Amino acid sequence: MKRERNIEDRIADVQYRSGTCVRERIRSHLDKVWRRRMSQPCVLARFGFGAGTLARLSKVALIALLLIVAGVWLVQINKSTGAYALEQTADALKGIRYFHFQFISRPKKPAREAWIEYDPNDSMRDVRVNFYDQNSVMVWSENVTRYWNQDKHEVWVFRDDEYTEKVLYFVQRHDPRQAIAYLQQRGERGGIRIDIAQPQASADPITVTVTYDPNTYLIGKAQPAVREFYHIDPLTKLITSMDVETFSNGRYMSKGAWEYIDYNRPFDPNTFDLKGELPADVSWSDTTSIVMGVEQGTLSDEEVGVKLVREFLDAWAANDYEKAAQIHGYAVAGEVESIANALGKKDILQVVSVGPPVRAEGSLGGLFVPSEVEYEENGQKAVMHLRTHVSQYTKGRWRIRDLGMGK
Amino acid sequence: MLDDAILLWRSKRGDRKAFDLLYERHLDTLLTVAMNLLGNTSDAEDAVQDVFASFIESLDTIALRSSLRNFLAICVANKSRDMLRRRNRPLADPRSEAPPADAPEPLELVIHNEQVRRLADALARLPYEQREVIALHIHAGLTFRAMARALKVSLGTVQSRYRYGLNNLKAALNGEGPT
Repeated sequence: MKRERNIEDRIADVQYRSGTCVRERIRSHLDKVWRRRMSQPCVLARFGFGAGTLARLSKVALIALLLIVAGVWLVQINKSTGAYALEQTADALKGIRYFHFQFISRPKKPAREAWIEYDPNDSMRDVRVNFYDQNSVMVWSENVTRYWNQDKHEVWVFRDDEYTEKVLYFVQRHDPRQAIAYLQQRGERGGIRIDIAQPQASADPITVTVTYDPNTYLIGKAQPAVREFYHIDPLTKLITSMDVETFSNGRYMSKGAWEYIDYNRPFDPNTFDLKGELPADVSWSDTTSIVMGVEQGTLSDEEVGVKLVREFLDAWAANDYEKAAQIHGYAVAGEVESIANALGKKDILQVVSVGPPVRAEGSLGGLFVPSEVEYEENGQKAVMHLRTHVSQYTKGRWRIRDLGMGK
Repeated sequence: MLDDAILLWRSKRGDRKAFDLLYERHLDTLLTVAMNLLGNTSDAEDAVQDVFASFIESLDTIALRSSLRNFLAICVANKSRDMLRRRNRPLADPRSEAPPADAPEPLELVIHNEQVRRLADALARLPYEQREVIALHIHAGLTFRAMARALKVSLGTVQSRYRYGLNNLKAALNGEGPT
Protein backbone atom coordinates (compact mmCIF):
# COMPACT_ATOMS: atom_id res chain seq x y z
CA MET A 1 0.00 0.00 0.00
CA LYS A 2 2.85 2.31 0.82
CA ARG A 3 4.37 1.67 -2.60
CA GLU A 4 1.00 2.50 -4.17
CA ARG A 5 0.94 5.91 -2.45
CA ASN A 6 4.41 6.47 -3.76
CA ILE A 7 3.43 6.00 -7.40
CA GLU A 8 0.33 8.16 -6.89
CA ASP A 9 2.46 10.96 -5.49
CA ARG A 10 4.76 10.72 -8.45
CA ILE A 11 1.83 10.79 -10.89
CA ALA A 12 0.60 13.92 -9.13
CA ASP A 13 3.87 15.56 -10.19
CA VAL A 14 2.95 15.13 -13.86
CA GLN A 15 1.24 18.50 -14.11
CA TYR A 16 1.18 20.82 -17.06
CA ARG A 17 1.27 24.58 -16.96
CA SER A 18 -0.11 26.83 -19.65
CA GLY A 19 2.10 29.64 -20.91
CA THR A 20 0.74 33.14 -21.44
CA CYS A 21 0.31 32.48 -25.12
CA VAL A 22 -1.91 29.41 -24.63
CA ARG A 23 -3.91 31.12 -21.90
CA GLU A 24 -4.53 34.22 -24.00
CA ARG A 25 -5.34 32.25 -27.12
CA ILE A 26 -8.08 30.32 -25.35
CA ARG A 27 -9.27 33.47 -23.58
CA SER A 28 -9.53 35.34 -26.86
CA HIS A 29 -11.82 32.64 -28.23
CA LEU A 30 -13.86 32.63 -25.03
CA ASP A 31 -14.23 36.43 -25.31
CA LYS A 32 -16.21 35.95 -28.49
CA VAL A 33 -18.33 33.18 -26.98
CA TRP A 34 -18.99 35.32 -23.93
CA ARG A 35 -20.00 38.39 -25.96
CA ARG A 36 -22.28 36.32 -28.13
CA ARG A 37 -23.94 34.69 -25.16
CA MET A 38 -24.43 37.96 -23.34
CA SER A 39 -26.26 39.34 -26.35
CA GLN A 40 -28.85 36.54 -26.21
CA PRO A 41 -32.39 37.52 -25.21
CA CYS A 42 -32.42 35.08 -22.30
CA VAL A 43 -29.44 36.87 -20.79
CA LEU A 44 -31.01 40.28 -21.32
CA ALA A 45 -34.09 38.92 -19.62
CA ARG A 46 -32.07 38.13 -16.51
CA PHE A 47 -31.00 41.76 -16.35
CA GLY A 48 -34.62 42.86 -16.35
CA PHE A 49 -35.22 43.40 -20.06
CA GLY A 50 -37.75 40.64 -20.56
CA ALA A 51 -41.37 40.19 -21.49
CA GLY A 52 -42.42 42.42 -18.63
CA THR A 53 -40.43 45.31 -20.03
CA LEU A 54 -41.98 44.87 -23.45
CA ALA A 55 -45.42 44.87 -21.88
CA ARG A 56 -44.67 48.19 -20.26
CA LEU A 57 -43.75 49.82 -23.57
CA SER A 58 -46.40 52.06 -25.00
CA LYS A 59 -48.15 51.16 -28.22
CA VAL A 60 -46.49 54.12 -29.93
CA ALA A 61 -43.04 52.86 -28.94
CA LEU A 62 -43.90 49.42 -30.21
CA ILE A 63 -45.01 50.78 -33.57
CA ALA A 64 -41.80 52.81 -33.80
CA LEU A 65 -39.78 49.68 -33.06
CA LEU A 66 -41.62 47.72 -35.73
CA LEU A 67 -40.99 50.48 -38.27
CA ILE A 68 -37.27 50.41 -37.51
CA VAL A 69 -37.17 46.62 -37.92
CA ALA A 70 -39.08 46.87 -41.20
CA GLY A 71 -36.68 49.57 -42.41
CA VAL A 72 -33.64 47.45 -41.66
CA TRP A 73 -35.28 44.50 -43.40
CA LEU A 74 -35.99 46.59 -46.50
CA VAL A 75 -32.37 47.76 -46.64
CA GLN A 76 -31.25 44.13 -46.52
CA ILE A 77 -33.69 43.18 -49.29
CA ASN A 78 -32.39 46.06 -51.35
CA LYS A 79 -28.82 44.90 -50.87
CA SER A 80 -29.70 41.33 -51.77
CA THR A 81 -31.17 42.28 -55.09
CA GLY A 82 -28.01 44.06 -56.29
CA ALA A 83 -26.23 43.41 -59.55
CA TYR A 84 -23.99 40.61 -58.37
CA ALA A 85 -24.94 37.02 -59.11
CA LEU A 86 -23.07 33.74 -58.65
CA GLU A 87 -22.79 33.41 -62.43
CA GLN A 88 -20.26 36.24 -62.44
CA THR A 89 -17.93 34.27 -60.19
CA ALA A 90 -18.56 31.14 -62.27
CA ASP A 91 -17.52 33.09 -65.38
CA ALA A 92 -14.42 34.53 -63.67
CA LEU A 93 -13.30 31.03 -62.74
CA LYS A 94 -13.51 29.62 -66.26
CA GLY A 95 -10.17 28.48 -67.65
CA ILE A 96 -8.40 28.50 -64.28
CA ARG A 97 -6.25 25.37 -63.94
CA TYR A 98 -4.47 25.90 -60.62
CA PHE A 99 -6.20 26.35 -57.27
CA HIS A 100 -4.32 26.82 -54.02
CA PHE A 101 -6.12 27.34 -50.72
CA GLN A 102 -5.97 26.56 -47.02
CA PHE A 103 -8.23 26.03 -44.05
CA ILE A 104 -7.49 28.09 -40.95
CA SER A 105 -9.24 26.61 -37.97
CA ARG A 106 -9.92 28.58 -34.86
CA PRO A 107 -8.01 29.98 -33.13
CA LYS A 108 -6.05 30.90 -36.22
CA LYS A 109 -4.14 27.74 -36.91
CA PRO A 110 -3.53 26.37 -40.41
CA ALA A 111 -5.10 22.93 -40.44
CA ARG A 112 -5.28 22.08 -44.16
CA GLU A 113 -3.61 23.31 -47.31
CA ALA A 114 -4.66 22.12 -50.74
CA TRP A 115 -3.42 22.30 -54.31
CA ILE A 116 -5.60 21.20 -57.22
CA GLU A 117 -4.48 21.07 -60.83
CA TYR A 118 -6.64 20.58 -63.93
CA ASP A 119 -5.46 19.61 -67.37
CA PRO A 120 -6.17 21.86 -70.40
CA ASN A 121 -9.40 19.91 -71.01
CA ASP A 122 -10.70 20.86 -67.55
CA SER A 123 -10.30 17.34 -66.17
CA MET A 124 -8.96 17.13 -62.64
CA ARG A 125 -5.41 15.81 -62.78
CA ASP A 126 -3.82 16.02 -59.33
CA VAL A 127 -4.84 16.89 -55.78
CA ARG A 128 -2.61 17.44 -52.80
CA VAL A 129 -3.80 18.09 -49.25
CA ASN A 130 -1.43 18.76 -46.34
CA PHE A 131 -3.12 17.80 -43.08
CA TYR A 132 -1.10 19.94 -40.67
CA ASP A 133 -3.32 18.92 -37.78
CA GLN A 134 -2.62 15.23 -38.39
CA ASN A 135 0.98 15.42 -39.60
CA SER A 136 0.17 13.84 -42.90
CA VAL A 137 0.11 14.58 -46.61
CA MET A 138 -2.21 13.11 -49.23
CA VAL A 139 -1.52 13.18 -52.94
CA TRP A 140 -4.17 11.84 -55.29
CA SER A 141 -3.77 11.17 -58.97
CA GLU A 142 -5.71 8.92 -61.35
CA ASN A 143 -7.55 7.09 -58.54
CA VAL A 144 -4.30 6.24 -56.75
CA THR A 145 -3.67 7.85 -53.37
CA ARG A 146 -0.27 8.29 -51.76
CA TYR A 147 -0.66 8.98 -48.07
CA TRP A 148 2.37 10.04 -46.05
CA ASN A 149 1.95 9.62 -42.29
CA GLN A 150 4.78 11.75 -40.94
CA ASP A 151 4.42 10.50 -37.37
CA LYS A 152 4.79 6.88 -38.43
CA HIS A 153 7.37 7.56 -41.17
CA GLU A 154 5.20 5.62 -43.59
CA VAL A 155 3.83 6.16 -47.05
CA TRP A 156 0.83 4.08 -48.09
CA VAL A 157 -0.01 3.85 -51.75
CA PHE A 158 -3.46 2.48 -52.41
CA ARG A 159 -6.36 2.41 -54.81
CA ASP A 160 -9.68 2.79 -53.00
CA ASP A 161 -12.95 3.85 -54.61
CA GLU A 162 -14.38 5.14 -51.35
CA TYR A 163 -11.37 7.29 -50.56
CA THR A 164 -11.39 8.64 -54.11
CA GLU A 165 -15.01 9.55 -53.60
CA LYS A 166 -14.03 11.54 -50.51
CA VAL A 167 -11.30 13.35 -52.42
CA LEU A 168 -13.73 14.21 -55.21
CA TYR A 169 -16.28 15.44 -52.68
CA PHE A 170 -13.64 17.60 -51.03
CA VAL A 171 -12.79 19.13 -54.41
CA GLN A 172 -16.45 19.62 -55.20
CA ARG A 173 -16.96 21.62 -52.03
CA HIS A 174 -13.76 23.63 -51.89
CA ASP A 175 -12.33 24.06 -55.35
CA PRO A 176 -13.97 27.45 -56.06
CA ARG A 177 -15.17 26.54 -59.53
CA GLN A 178 -16.87 23.35 -58.44
CA ALA A 179 -18.08 24.93 -55.21
CA ILE A 180 -19.93 27.65 -57.10
CA ALA A 181 -21.43 25.14 -59.53
CA TYR A 182 -22.46 23.03 -56.53
CA LEU A 183 -24.15 26.01 -54.87
CA GLN A 184 -26.01 26.86 -58.05
CA GLN A 185 -27.31 23.29 -58.31
CA ARG A 186 -28.15 23.02 -54.63
CA GLY A 187 -29.88 26.40 -54.68
CA GLU A 188 -32.26 25.03 -57.30
CA ARG A 189 -32.83 21.74 -55.47
CA GLY A 190 -33.60 23.34 -52.10
CA GLY A 191 -32.36 22.58 -48.59
CA ILE A 192 -30.08 25.60 -48.63
CA ARG A 193 -30.68 29.35 -48.68
CA ILE A 194 -28.39 31.76 -50.52
CA ASP A 195 -28.34 35.44 -49.54
CA ILE A 196 -26.19 37.98 -51.34
CA ALA A 197 -25.13 41.19 -49.64
CA GLN A 198 -23.58 43.77 -51.92
CA PRO A 199 -21.99 46.63 -49.99
CA GLN A 200 -22.60 50.30 -50.75
CA ALA A 201 -18.88 50.96 -51.20
CA SER A 202 -17.74 49.35 -54.42
CA ALA A 203 -14.35 48.38 -53.00
CA ASP A 204 -15.81 46.30 -50.18
CA PRO A 205 -16.16 42.55 -50.70
CA ILE A 206 -19.46 41.01 -51.68
CA THR A 207 -20.70 38.46 -49.16
CA VAL A 208 -22.65 35.39 -50.19
CA THR A 209 -24.22 33.68 -47.19
CA VAL A 210 -25.20 30.06 -47.66
CA THR A 211 -27.33 28.48 -44.95
CA TYR A 212 -27.68 24.71 -45.04
CA ASP A 213 -30.66 23.08 -43.34
CA PRO A 214 -29.72 20.41 -40.80
CA ASN A 215 -28.45 17.18 -42.44
CA THR A 216 -27.81 18.77 -45.81
CA TYR A 217 -24.18 19.93 -45.52
CA LEU A 218 -22.61 16.52 -45.98
CA ILE A 219 -25.03 14.46 -47.97
CA GLY A 220 -26.43 11.53 -46.02
CA LYS A 221 -24.69 12.52 -42.79
CA ALA A 222 -26.55 13.68 -39.70
CA GLN A 223 -25.32 17.23 -39.13
CA PRO A 224 -26.58 20.43 -37.58
CA ALA A 225 -27.29 23.48 -39.71
CA VAL A 226 -24.18 24.99 -41.28
CA ARG A 227 -23.57 28.51 -42.52
CA GLU A 228 -20.89 29.57 -45.01
CA PHE A 229 -19.89 33.13 -45.81
CA TYR A 230 -18.20 33.48 -49.18
CA HIS A 231 -16.28 36.74 -49.52
CA ILE A 232 -16.06 37.80 -53.16
CA ASP A 233 -13.60 40.33 -54.56
CA PRO A 234 -15.83 43.03 -56.14
CA LEU A 235 -13.34 43.63 -58.96
CA THR A 236 -12.25 40.14 -60.04
CA LYS A 237 -15.40 38.38 -58.69
CA LEU A 238 -13.11 35.62 -57.35
CA ILE A 239 -13.61 34.13 -53.88
CA THR A 240 -11.05 35.44 -51.42
CA SER A 241 -12.15 33.49 -48.35
CA MET A 242 -15.03 31.50 -46.89
CA ASP A 243 -15.98 31.38 -43.18
CA VAL A 244 -17.73 28.29 -41.82
CA GLU A 245 -20.06 28.17 -38.83
CA THR A 246 -22.05 25.28 -37.42
CA PHE A 247 -25.20 25.53 -35.34
CA SER A 248 -24.61 24.28 -31.84
CA ASN A 249 -26.28 24.87 -28.49
CA GLY A 250 -28.78 27.27 -29.97
CA ARG A 251 -26.34 29.47 -31.90
CA TYR A 252 -23.83 29.47 -34.72
CA MET A 253 -20.23 28.73 -33.73
CA SER A 254 -17.20 29.50 -35.90
CA LYS A 255 -15.30 26.50 -37.24
CA GLY A 256 -12.69 28.45 -39.15
CA ALA A 257 -12.13 29.85 -42.63
CA TRP A 258 -10.94 28.72 -46.02
CA GLU A 259 -8.53 31.21 -47.56
CA TYR A 260 -7.96 31.17 -51.29
CA ILE A 261 -4.29 31.95 -51.76
CA ASP A 262 -3.60 31.84 -55.50
CA TYR A 263 -5.56 31.49 -58.68
CA ASN A 264 -3.91 30.07 -61.77
CA ARG A 265 -0.35 30.38 -60.56
CA PRO A 266 1.41 27.23 -61.87
CA PHE A 267 2.65 24.96 -59.10
CA ASP A 268 6.17 23.80 -58.42
CA PRO A 269 6.65 20.71 -60.63
CA ASN A 270 7.34 18.61 -57.50
CA THR A 271 4.12 19.54 -55.72
CA PHE A 272 2.49 16.20 -56.51
CA ASP A 273 5.63 14.10 -56.25
CA LEU A 274 6.26 13.21 -52.62
CA LYS A 275 9.54 11.46 -53.24
CA GLY A 276 11.61 14.63 -53.17
CA GLU A 277 10.30 15.47 -49.68
CA LEU A 278 10.41 12.10 -47.98
CA PRO A 279 13.05 11.41 -45.35
CA ALA A 280 15.44 8.57 -46.13
CA ASP A 281 14.08 6.29 -43.42
CA VAL A 282 10.43 6.40 -44.51
CA SER A 283 8.84 3.03 -45.21
CA TRP A 284 6.83 2.65 -48.41
CA SER A 285 3.83 0.29 -48.58
CA ASP A 286 2.35 0.01 -52.03
CA THR A 287 -0.88 -1.97 -51.92
CA THR A 288 -2.06 -1.08 -55.42
CA SER A 289 -1.08 -4.52 -56.66
CA ILE A 290 -2.24 -6.40 -53.51
CA VAL A 291 -5.71 -7.87 -53.35
CA MET A 292 -7.05 -6.75 -49.96
CA GLY A 293 -10.02 -7.82 -47.88
CA VAL A 294 -12.33 -10.62 -48.95
CA GLU A 295 -14.31 -11.31 -52.09
CA GLN A 296 -18.08 -10.89 -51.83
CA GLY A 297 -18.99 -13.39 -54.53
CA THR A 298 -22.58 -14.51 -54.05
CA LEU A 299 -22.68 -13.59 -50.36
CA SER A 300 -25.03 -10.92 -49.08
CA ASP A 301 -23.52 -7.77 -47.53
CA GLU A 302 -24.24 -9.11 -44.04
CA GLU A 303 -22.67 -12.49 -44.81
CA VAL A 304 -19.51 -11.02 -46.29
CA GLY A 305 -19.23 -8.61 -43.32
CA VAL A 306 -19.27 -11.51 -40.85
CA LYS A 307 -16.86 -13.54 -42.98
CA LEU A 308 -14.42 -10.63 -43.19
CA VAL A 309 -14.36 -9.98 -39.45
CA ARG A 310 -14.14 -13.66 -38.54
CA GLU A 311 -11.23 -14.29 -40.91
CA PHE A 312 -9.43 -11.24 -39.56
CA LEU A 313 -9.90 -12.23 -35.92
CA ASP A 314 -8.90 -15.85 -36.61
CA ALA A 315 -5.70 -14.65 -38.27
CA TRP A 316 -5.05 -12.31 -35.37
CA ALA A 317 -5.64 -15.08 -32.81
CA ALA A 318 -3.18 -17.26 -34.72
CA ASN A 319 -0.62 -14.40 -34.66
CA ASP A 320 -0.65 -14.49 -38.46
CA TYR A 321 -0.13 -10.76 -38.88
CA GLU A 322 0.62 -10.96 -42.59
CA LYS A 323 -2.76 -12.51 -43.26
CA ALA A 324 -4.51 -10.15 -40.83
CA ALA A 325 -2.93 -7.20 -42.63
CA GLN A 326 -4.02 -8.49 -46.03
CA ILE A 327 -7.59 -8.83 -44.80
CA HIS A 328 -7.57 -5.52 -42.91
CA GLY A 329 -6.70 -3.46 -45.94
CA TYR A 330 -4.76 -0.33 -45.11
CA ALA A 331 -2.80 -1.77 -42.25
CA VAL A 332 0.59 -3.17 -43.07
CA ALA A 333 1.74 -6.16 -41.05
CA GLY A 334 3.65 -4.13 -38.49
CA GLU A 335 0.63 -2.02 -37.75
CA VAL A 336 -1.63 -4.96 -37.00
CA GLU A 337 1.08 -6.17 -34.65
CA SER A 338 1.19 -2.78 -33.01
CA ILE A 339 -2.59 -2.87 -32.56
CA ALA A 340 -2.13 -6.20 -30.81
CA ASN A 341 0.60 -4.71 -28.64
CA ALA A 342 -1.60 -1.76 -27.79
CA LEU A 343 -3.96 -4.19 -26.11
CA GLY A 344 -1.26 -5.01 -23.63
CA LYS A 345 -0.18 -8.53 -22.94
CA LYS A 346 -3.41 -10.13 -24.05
CA ASP A 347 -3.35 -13.56 -25.61
CA ILE A 348 -6.43 -14.17 -27.72
CA LEU A 349 -7.87 -17.54 -26.76
CA GLN A 350 -10.85 -17.75 -29.06
CA VAL A 351 -13.34 -15.80 -31.12
CA VAL A 352 -16.57 -16.17 -29.14
CA SER A 353 -19.03 -14.64 -31.58
CA VAL A 354 -19.24 -12.50 -34.72
CA GLY A 355 -22.37 -10.64 -35.80
CA PRO A 356 -25.10 -9.99 -36.51
CA PRO A 357 -24.10 -6.86 -38.48
CA VAL A 358 -26.04 -3.61 -38.55
CA ARG A 359 -26.09 -1.04 -41.36
CA ALA A 360 -23.88 2.02 -40.80
CA GLU A 361 -26.01 5.14 -40.90
CA GLY A 362 -25.47 8.23 -43.01
CA SER A 363 -22.55 8.72 -45.35
CA LEU A 364 -20.33 6.20 -43.56
CA GLY A 365 -21.61 3.32 -45.65
CA GLY A 366 -20.99 -0.35 -45.00
CA LEU A 367 -21.80 -2.28 -41.86
CA PHE A 368 -20.89 -2.45 -38.21
CA VAL A 369 -20.07 -6.03 -37.20
CA PRO A 370 -20.07 -6.71 -33.45
CA SER A 371 -17.85 -9.45 -32.11
CA GLU A 372 -16.62 -10.93 -28.83
CA VAL A 373 -13.11 -12.21 -28.34
CA GLU A 374 -11.92 -14.15 -25.30
CA TYR A 375 -8.41 -13.25 -24.19
CA GLU A 376 -6.10 -13.82 -21.29
CA GLU A 377 -4.35 -11.06 -19.42
CA ASN A 378 -2.24 -11.39 -16.32
CA GLY A 379 -3.42 -14.98 -16.01
CA GLN A 380 -7.10 -13.99 -16.06
CA LYS A 381 -9.63 -14.63 -18.80
CA ALA A 382 -11.74 -11.76 -20.07
CA VAL A 383 -13.94 -10.91 -23.04
CA MET A 384 -13.27 -7.99 -25.37
CA HIS A 385 -16.10 -6.44 -27.42
CA LEU A 386 -15.41 -5.01 -30.85
CA ARG A 387 -17.66 -3.10 -33.23
CA THR A 388 -15.86 -3.32 -36.53
CA HIS A 389 -16.75 -1.06 -39.43
CA VAL A 390 -16.50 -2.86 -42.78
CA SER A 391 -17.36 -1.72 -46.28
CA GLN A 392 -16.92 -2.46 -49.95
CA TYR A 393 -13.73 -0.67 -51.02
CA THR A 394 -13.85 -1.62 -54.65
CA LYS A 395 -16.31 -3.53 -56.75
CA GLY A 396 -16.90 -6.97 -55.22
CA ARG A 397 -14.33 -6.70 -52.38
CA TRP A 398 -14.83 -5.74 -48.75
CA ARG A 399 -12.33 -4.65 -46.16
CA ILE A 400 -12.11 -3.34 -42.60
CA ARG A 401 -12.42 0.42 -42.14
CA ASP A 402 -12.10 0.61 -38.40
CA LEU A 403 -11.46 -2.23 -36.01
CA GLY A 404 -13.72 -0.63 -33.39
CA MET A 405 -11.98 -1.77 -30.25
CA GLY A 406 -13.60 -0.72 -27.00
CA LYS A 407 -16.88 0.33 -28.64
CA MET B 1 -10.66 33.26 -2.01
CA LEU B 2 -14.22 33.32 -3.28
CA ASP B 3 -15.97 30.01 -3.47
CA ASP B 4 -16.53 28.50 -6.92
CA ALA B 5 -20.28 28.44 -6.30
CA ILE B 6 -20.33 32.22 -5.74
CA LEU B 7 -18.21 32.83 -8.82
CA LEU B 8 -20.50 30.57 -10.83
CA TRP B 9 -23.55 32.46 -9.59
CA ARG B 10 -21.93 35.77 -10.51
CA SER B 11 -20.94 34.40 -13.93
CA LYS B 12 -24.54 33.44 -14.52
CA ARG B 13 -25.47 37.06 -13.82
CA GLY B 14 -23.04 38.21 -16.52
CA ASP B 15 -20.03 39.04 -14.33
CA ARG B 16 -17.08 38.51 -16.64
CA LYS B 17 -14.50 38.98 -13.89
CA ALA B 18 -16.03 36.12 -11.97
CA PHE B 19 -15.77 33.88 -15.01
CA ASP B 20 -12.15 34.94 -15.53
CA LEU B 21 -11.35 33.92 -11.96
CA LEU B 22 -12.87 30.50 -12.55
CA TYR B 23 -10.96 30.20 -15.82
CA GLU B 24 -7.63 31.05 -14.21
CA ARG B 25 -8.34 28.79 -11.25
CA HIS B 26 -9.12 25.65 -13.24
CA LEU B 27 -7.28 26.05 -16.54
CA ASP B 28 -4.07 24.25 -15.65
CA THR B 29 -5.83 21.36 -13.90
CA LEU B 30 -8.02 20.82 -16.94
CA LEU B 31 -5.05 21.08 -19.30
CA THR B 32 -3.23 18.51 -17.19
CA VAL B 33 -6.20 16.12 -17.37
CA ALA B 34 -6.51 16.70 -21.12
CA MET B 35 -2.78 16.23 -21.71
CA ASN B 36 -2.84 12.96 -19.81
CA LEU B 37 -5.79 11.76 -21.87
CA LEU B 38 -4.88 13.08 -25.31
CA GLY B 39 -1.12 13.18 -25.22
CA ASN B 40 -0.57 16.29 -27.33
CA THR B 41 -0.77 19.96 -26.58
CA SER B 42 -2.85 20.97 -29.53
CA ASP B 43 -5.68 18.54 -28.82
CA ALA B 44 -5.50 19.24 -25.09
CA GLU B 45 -5.83 22.96 -25.72
CA ASP B 46 -8.77 22.39 -28.04
CA ALA B 47 -10.55 20.11 -25.61
CA VAL B 48 -10.23 22.58 -22.74
CA GLN B 49 -11.22 25.51 -24.92
CA ASP B 50 -14.33 23.68 -26.11
CA VAL B 51 -15.26 22.74 -22.56
CA PHE B 52 -14.98 26.35 -21.37
CA ALA B 53 -16.93 27.54 -24.42
CA SER B 54 -19.72 25.04 -23.73
CA PHE B 55 -19.60 26.07 -20.08
CA ILE B 56 -20.31 29.69 -21.07
CA GLU B 57 -23.01 28.63 -23.51
CA SER B 58 -24.83 26.57 -20.90
CA LEU B 59 -24.29 28.76 -17.83
CA ASP B 60 -28.04 29.13 -17.46
CA THR B 61 -28.66 25.45 -17.10
CA ILE B 62 -25.67 24.35 -15.04
CA ALA B 63 -26.72 22.96 -11.68
CA LEU B 64 -23.74 21.58 -9.80
CA ARG B 65 -24.11 18.33 -7.90
CA SER B 66 -20.42 18.17 -7.02
CA SER B 67 -17.54 20.62 -7.20
CA LEU B 68 -17.07 22.76 -10.29
CA ARG B 69 -13.61 21.28 -10.81
CA ASN B 70 -15.08 17.77 -10.88
CA PHE B 71 -17.78 18.89 -13.28
CA LEU B 72 -15.31 20.52 -15.68
CA ALA B 73 -12.86 17.60 -15.45
CA ILE B 74 -15.60 15.14 -16.44
CA CYS B 75 -16.50 17.41 -19.36
CA VAL B 76 -12.83 17.35 -20.45
CA ALA B 77 -12.78 13.55 -20.21
CA ASN B 78 -15.94 13.24 -22.31
CA LYS B 79 -14.59 15.68 -24.87
CA SER B 80 -11.25 13.86 -25.00
CA ARG B 81 -12.98 10.54 -25.63
CA ASP B 82 -14.88 12.06 -28.55
CA MET B 83 -11.68 13.50 -29.97
CA LEU B 84 -9.87 10.19 -29.70
CA ARG B 85 -12.71 8.41 -31.48
CA ARG B 86 -12.34 10.84 -34.35
CA ARG B 87 -8.57 10.45 -34.31
CA ASN B 88 -8.88 6.65 -34.64
CA ARG B 89 -10.01 6.98 -38.23
CA PRO B 90 -7.42 5.19 -40.35
CA LEU B 91 -6.90 8.08 -42.77
CA ALA B 92 -7.60 11.76 -42.72
CA ASP B 93 -10.84 12.53 -44.47
CA PRO B 94 -10.21 15.48 -46.77
CA ARG B 95 -13.87 16.46 -46.53
CA SER B 96 -13.82 17.35 -42.89
CA GLU B 97 -12.53 20.50 -41.28
CA ALA B 98 -10.33 19.48 -38.43
CA PRO B 99 -8.96 20.54 -35.08
CA PRO B 100 -6.02 22.91 -35.12
CA ALA B 101 -2.43 22.00 -35.73
CA ASP B 102 0.20 21.85 -33.01
CA ALA B 103 0.36 24.87 -30.77
CA PRO B 104 3.41 27.04 -31.31
CA GLU B 105 3.90 27.22 -27.56
CA PRO B 106 3.61 23.74 -26.06
CA LEU B 107 2.44 23.18 -22.53
CA GLU B 108 5.23 22.65 -20.09
CA LEU B 109 5.62 20.10 -17.35
CA VAL B 110 5.62 21.95 -14.06
CA ILE B 111 8.42 19.79 -12.68
CA HIS B 112 10.63 19.07 -15.60
CA ASN B 113 13.06 16.33 -14.83
CA GLU B 114 13.84 13.01 -16.42
CA GLN B 115 11.79 10.99 -13.93
CA VAL B 116 8.65 13.04 -14.46
CA ARG B 117 9.15 12.99 -18.20
CA ARG B 118 9.49 9.21 -18.13
CA LEU B 119 6.38 8.87 -16.00
CA ALA B 120 4.45 11.14 -18.36
CA ASP B 121 5.52 8.95 -21.29
CA ALA B 122 4.53 5.78 -19.43
CA LEU B 123 1.13 7.32 -18.59
CA ALA B 124 0.58 8.12 -22.24
CA ARG B 125 1.08 4.45 -23.15
CA LEU B 126 -1.60 3.17 -20.76
CA PRO B 127 -4.97 2.09 -22.20
CA TYR B 128 -7.33 5.05 -22.35
CA GLU B 129 -9.74 3.81 -19.66
CA GLN B 130 -6.89 3.44 -17.17
CA ARG B 131 -5.42 6.86 -18.02
CA GLU B 132 -8.87 8.36 -17.60
CA VAL B 133 -9.51 7.16 -14.06
CA ILE B 134 -5.94 7.94 -12.97
CA ALA B 135 -6.07 11.51 -14.34
CA LEU B 136 -9.53 12.19 -12.94
CA HIS B 137 -8.69 10.79 -9.52
CA ILE B 138 -5.21 12.15 -9.02
CA HIS B 139 -5.31 15.43 -10.92
CA ALA B 140 -8.96 16.44 -10.64
CA GLY B 141 -9.61 14.84 -7.25
CA LEU B 142 -12.70 12.86 -8.27
CA THR B 143 -13.71 10.03 -5.99
CA PHE B 144 -14.14 6.56 -7.48
CA ARG B 145 -17.85 6.74 -6.77
CA ALA B 146 -18.21 10.08 -8.58
CA MET B 147 -16.28 8.70 -11.53
CA ALA B 148 -18.43 5.58 -11.68
CA ARG B 149 -21.53 7.79 -11.81
CA ALA B 150 -20.12 10.12 -14.44
CA LEU B 151 -18.60 7.43 -16.65
CA LYS B 152 -21.68 5.20 -16.26
CA VAL B 153 -19.69 2.15 -15.16
CA SER B 154 -19.69 0.21 -11.92
CA LEU B 155 -17.62 1.22 -8.92
CA GLY B 156 -15.70 -2.05 -9.20
CA THR B 157 -14.81 -1.31 -12.83
CA VAL B 158 -13.42 2.10 -11.91
CA GLN B 159 -11.40 0.63 -9.06
CA SER B 160 -9.99 -2.19 -11.15
CA ARG B 161 -9.09 0.18 -14.01
CA TYR B 162 -7.27 2.33 -11.50
CA ARG B 163 -5.46 -0.62 -9.94
CA TYR B 164 -4.47 -2.09 -13.31
CA GLY B 165 -3.32 1.35 -14.42
CA LEU B 166 -1.04 1.79 -11.43
CA ASN B 167 0.31 -1.76 -11.81
CA ASN B 168 0.99 -1.21 -15.50
CA LEU B 169 2.74 2.04 -14.72
CA LYS B 170 4.92 0.44 -12.08
CA ALA B 171 5.76 -2.40 -14.45
CA ALA B 172 6.63 0.04 -17.23
CA LEU B 173 8.85 2.10 -14.94
CA ASN B 174 10.54 -0.93 -13.44
CA GLY B 175 11.27 -2.18 -16.92
CA GLU B 176 13.28 0.95 -17.53
CA GLY B 177 15.46 0.49 -14.49
CA PRO B 178 15.41 2.24 -11.13
CA THR B 179 13.64 5.56 -10.99
